[in-house]
Amino acid sequence: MDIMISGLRRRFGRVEALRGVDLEVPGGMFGLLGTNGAGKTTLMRILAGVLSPTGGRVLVGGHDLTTRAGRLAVQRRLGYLPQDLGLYPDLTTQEFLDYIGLLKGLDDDTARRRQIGELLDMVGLADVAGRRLKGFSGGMRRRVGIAQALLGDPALVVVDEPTAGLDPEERIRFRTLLAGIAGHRTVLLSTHIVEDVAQTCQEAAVMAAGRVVFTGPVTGIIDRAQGATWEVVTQGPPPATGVVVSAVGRPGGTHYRVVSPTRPDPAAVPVQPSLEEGYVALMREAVPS
Amino acid sequence: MSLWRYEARRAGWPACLAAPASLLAALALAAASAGFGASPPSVHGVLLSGVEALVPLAAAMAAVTVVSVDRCRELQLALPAGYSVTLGRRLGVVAGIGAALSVLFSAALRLTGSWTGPESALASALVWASPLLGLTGLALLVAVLGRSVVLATTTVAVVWLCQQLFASALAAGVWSRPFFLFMTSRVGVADGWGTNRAVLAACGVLFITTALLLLRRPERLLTEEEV
Repeated sequence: MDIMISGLRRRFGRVEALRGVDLEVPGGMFGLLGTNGAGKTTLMRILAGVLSPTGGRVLVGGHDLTTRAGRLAVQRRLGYLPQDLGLYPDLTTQEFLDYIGLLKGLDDDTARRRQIGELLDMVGLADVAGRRLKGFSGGMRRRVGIAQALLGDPALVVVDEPTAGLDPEERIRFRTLLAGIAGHRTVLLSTHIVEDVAQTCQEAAVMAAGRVVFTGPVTGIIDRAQGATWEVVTQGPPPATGVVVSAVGRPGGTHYRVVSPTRPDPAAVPVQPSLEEGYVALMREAVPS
Repeated sequence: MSLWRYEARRAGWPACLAAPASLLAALALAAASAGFGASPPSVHGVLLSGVEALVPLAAAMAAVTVVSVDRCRELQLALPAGYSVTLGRRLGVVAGIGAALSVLFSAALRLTGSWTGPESALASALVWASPLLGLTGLALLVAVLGRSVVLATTTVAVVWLCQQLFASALAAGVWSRPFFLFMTSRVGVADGWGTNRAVLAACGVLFITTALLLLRRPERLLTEEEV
């Protein structure tokens, strides 16, 4: 399900959250990176039909999201996992999914329950199907969230910051789950965690200050830091120029990895950049401090 | 049917129990006034106030809760079912409980000879239905426009209390009389009673329709923090 966005704007009072976003999302898993406040959640909400744009155009699978009919058509084929997924604590996992299934129009009781069973198996929650959602851990709540998003076999899945606040084990588990569901679907993953995109997406976009500043293969983000990533080993203070991306203390001194267009220290040696360093270089270009 | 069961649970026990609790309060008040030696007409007036004043107040407060509180609001707004339809079902459950209990309570009052309202069945229903529609409609509209539980419940409470405190003045005024909520229990089925009921019901329908139309814009349901 292709997504085509052109000149998209969204204003909240005096604040312009989206300032003319242009973006094309092909099928498969697509990452949307950006700092907090970059406009990612606003964009996700517009794609989910939760918010209307102030201006511009959004076509999802050929449906115009600026119209009511278009929003409804997209919502019929959408799975959405919002950033703050509140669950109904009095319902069991099975009941919650049953309720959301009914609201998604899955009226055939037998087919709905079979699908719920399959999804619970897939997300590893079959053994707690009859347990109330009250008291579920963050990771379990996100897995319930992805299960409800997949009810009705949607063609487009939009997930907003799904791994924020999860421990490393749960984060890896969730990433693997997301990568597994892409298949024939379009999965749009919005996150500020670079590692999530690095591990799951081949294509990505980067947002900064309400605009898209990069679209393309994930390797293209790494390229932004080619020739601009350095390692400095010193027992003194960190280099004054550039952005220190990592610092590892070792017996011989602290190893700093720095993103800087110029050599940050006479002892600095160029190194191969990571995605995180590419992202930092890109953000420095997009939003100069 | 199972969807209605889920929506009743989403409306919540407090919202569903508000109407029965208000009728129990009316019974307790009536018993207390009888115990203190109040005359039978006064006791009957208290019982009639149960359906005309307390049930509508309970329904209005419950409606504010139903529209304002939902842990999964953002997810609900992204579902094809339409959140205003979902809220309509929840409100229907709350209003249905209030209506069913009011009918039963009115019938019980008739059977025990305590009914002082109009005789016909339709008119009897208007004793509770008109103020219920009017007050619930006002509550919904303020809740949707103001996006605040406090604002909506305070507005309802102030309107209800002012009408109780200034009942005589409101019932006597030509312009205020059609909007007086407690005409039956405070004045009786006098001149202008039919107009009063019709105006209250019409205002309620107008307020509810406006609120539901506003709810079709999803942003109306997200608080400033959520946006």
